[in-house]
Amino acid sequence: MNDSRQDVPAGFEPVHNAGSFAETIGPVYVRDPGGENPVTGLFYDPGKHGNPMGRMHGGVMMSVLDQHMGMIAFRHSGGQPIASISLDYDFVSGVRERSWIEFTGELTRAAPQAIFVRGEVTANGRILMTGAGIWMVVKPKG
Amino acid sequence: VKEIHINPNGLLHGGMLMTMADHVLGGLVWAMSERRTSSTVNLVTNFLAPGRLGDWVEGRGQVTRQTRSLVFARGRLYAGDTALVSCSGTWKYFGDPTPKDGMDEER
Repeated sequence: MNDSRQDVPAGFEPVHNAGSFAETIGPVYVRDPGGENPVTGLFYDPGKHGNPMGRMHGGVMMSVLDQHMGMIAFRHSGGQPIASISLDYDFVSGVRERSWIEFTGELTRAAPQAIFVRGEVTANGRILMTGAGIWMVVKPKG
Repeated sequence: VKEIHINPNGLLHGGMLMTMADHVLGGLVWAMSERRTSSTVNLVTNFLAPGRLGDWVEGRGQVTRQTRSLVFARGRLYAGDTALVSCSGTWKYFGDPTPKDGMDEER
């Protein structure tokens, strides 16, 4: 679908080079990706992201929050590549209408080999889903 | 696994695996409950091995416990004999006769 650019809140820019899966479910936008409080955004399009019960599909929320929390984890990996080990999501409420959805998160702990991040998905300030994840820091072999 | 499912590292995107885990376990819950509609309340996904382009991914699971309003299920996703994901989740039926936990479905 074509999002009208003027609908995107100020400060958000389209995410490029996020891989073909992200392009398939997107477009996905981000604000302040290198800053203290990055926010990822997506328009919920009921025709594209709806589930059979007429609400936003949990798979879309899980996928985008995975990427957002992974971005936060990577900032704390000292430049090393990371891999998701475990993700735990609670589905708190649903959304039906086309809405601007925001994905936020914060570091819980960065240990030398594992990085812990928590995050949440909101629509107009209402929590749709909360999540917590663990990323492994991939050390170079040898 | 097709090109559209690939992440920037060239591997199967975790979001696709989580979506599939939700469908495999949610479908199982639906089938085991005489097709009552339910929604996912919680889903935990552990990533055991990466999925790759061209893999055929299969899900298997079981219902571990059913109550009047909640169903618990767990399962795994495989590519051949390799387990890619272990997952477990909780589903809640719609139209529960005694909704008192304050779960706010719409707003």
